[in-house]
Amino acid sequence: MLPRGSIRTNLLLGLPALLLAAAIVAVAASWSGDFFAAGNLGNLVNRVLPLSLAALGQAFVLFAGRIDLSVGSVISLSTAILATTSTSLGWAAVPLVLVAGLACGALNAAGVIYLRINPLIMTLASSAIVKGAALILMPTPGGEVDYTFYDAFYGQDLLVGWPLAVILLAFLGAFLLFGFTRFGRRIYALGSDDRAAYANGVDVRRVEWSVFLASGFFAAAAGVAVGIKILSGDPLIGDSFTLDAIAAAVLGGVALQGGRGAVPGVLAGSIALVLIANAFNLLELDPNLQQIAKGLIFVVALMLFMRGGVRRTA
Amino acid sequence: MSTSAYLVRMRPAAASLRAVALLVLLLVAFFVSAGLFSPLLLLDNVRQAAPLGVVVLGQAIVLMMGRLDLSVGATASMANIVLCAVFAGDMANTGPAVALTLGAGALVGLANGLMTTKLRIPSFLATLATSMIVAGLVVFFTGGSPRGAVPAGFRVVTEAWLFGFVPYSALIWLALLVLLMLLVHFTMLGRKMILSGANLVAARHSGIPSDGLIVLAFVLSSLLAATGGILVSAITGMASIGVGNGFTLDSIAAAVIGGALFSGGVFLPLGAMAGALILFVVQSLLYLLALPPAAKFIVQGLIIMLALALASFRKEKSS
Repeated sequence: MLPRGSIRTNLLLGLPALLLAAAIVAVAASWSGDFFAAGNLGNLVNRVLPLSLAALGQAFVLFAGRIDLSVGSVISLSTAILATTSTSLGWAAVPLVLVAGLACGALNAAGVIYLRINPLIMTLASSAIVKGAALILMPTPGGEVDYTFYDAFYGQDLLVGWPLAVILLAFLGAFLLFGFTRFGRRIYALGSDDRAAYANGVDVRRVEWSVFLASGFFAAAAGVAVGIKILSGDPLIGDSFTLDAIAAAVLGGVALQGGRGAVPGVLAGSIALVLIANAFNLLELDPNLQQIAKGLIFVVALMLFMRGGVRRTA
Repeated sequence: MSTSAYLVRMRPAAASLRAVALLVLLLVAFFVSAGLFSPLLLLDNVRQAAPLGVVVLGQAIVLMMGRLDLSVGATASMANIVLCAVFAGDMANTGPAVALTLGAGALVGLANGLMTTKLRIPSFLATLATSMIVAGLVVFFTGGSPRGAVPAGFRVVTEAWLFGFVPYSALIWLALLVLLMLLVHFTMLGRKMILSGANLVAARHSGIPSDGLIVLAFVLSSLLAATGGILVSAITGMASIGVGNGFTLDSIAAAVIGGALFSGGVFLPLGAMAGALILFVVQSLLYLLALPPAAKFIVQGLIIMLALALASFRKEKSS
């Protein structure tokens, strides 16, 4: 097994995604002169923000060898909450959304830990519950997110601004957590081998609680970013994020069987995915092809990274 | 084999019986709150639940293999689009329309099966990816506005009743159920399938070609999903994008209510049937209670959670 925490190993895992991103940049820039326009770069950062946050939350769970399929629904619910409360509560709506995200994470954790339901199915069930809640709160897309939110957060769609700062802060924090703290090691340990981790004194329940809470929290944060961007709520907008977040993590070298992966890789994977979508727009390809292409890329990524590393299940 | 041994095999499992009991309970609640009892209303519910019921059978087969198929919804939606497009409202196209729809469904299943066996991608991700690709292809080829319609002659399949008493769709559902039960419990192929679902390693060591059987299970599941899509099309009579999307979660919930286990090795067709009917009656109840339609999702999620929590609780007690 590779040593954890060393920066070299961490960066190497994200290398394929980084190369893919660079290749897409090269192709997109040579075919379309608009790629390096300041507006497009700022737009790219704004698009990377929600996906990378959702993928980071997903990575917490994946590192621990679990999975969270409720990310998309949590994002939808977050936009719905934001759009119904932002005009009356102002900025206090944001912590409210984050608390709601934590609650969703707590639901997942409770089901997995106390009811002993397989995480895959538990989060699938909770995604239905959360989606139902979002649809009851807001049956059709609508509502309003205060424009001052957009102004203050996204501003002029510049390359350097709040969105970039949030991405860097979140990923730097997670990088330090996973690379240099006991807690991060415990998450990897749980993902590598539940029993061995338990035998070595890892508090399995506590780690499970924290990874699901982290996933819910980051999904809600991603939902805030989406809600401010579209200036309204949409009870179904998050659906595509579930698969995208997993795809971004897998592209970034995270192993679905747990215990392997790195935070910089997740960021690289998110950037690569966003660039693919951006290239489709710049090259003026049929947007409906985008979904097909994303699905195929996901399959290829899984194919490349799943090979060889299949973990024996007890 | 003696007759009694066959009869023992036919005996429904306890989990199936529990699901049936729950169904009866719900039906009583339904008829009490509706304030009247009519067998015709009951059979009409069966008629409308048939598409889901057929899809659940496929999901149950995949669950039996210890896998999960998250593409049944997209496949059923695709079936609706393909069927309507080929039919173009003309009864003369019945043969090609049904054949092409089932063929397209089988292709989806083949892709799912090959991805999970040959490429070793976890089944829920492989099927999630195919569902995305299939949905994308539907939007791409129709440009967002699907054409065609199901001719009135074909809609007999779900709208007409045999002797004015038994809906045809219920008969189709029952026939498929019996066929699958015979396949799984009374043929060598089916026994091999259930063994590789229960213990893949043991099955491989016994020389059972598990990979091929898993592919077969996915093809069957997609074929049944496409059949479910055909039945839905017969009910609605028109092409609309995403008409079967709800089947993915519905089918998992129904199968789980019927006693299916995610660890595989269990095939309970009677339970699956009861599960589908339970979901349908719950929906009707929600409607009667004037709850918002979105409450359906919450109830679904809670049902899946409850069913699995009960299953794991029981396993713990017995071990």
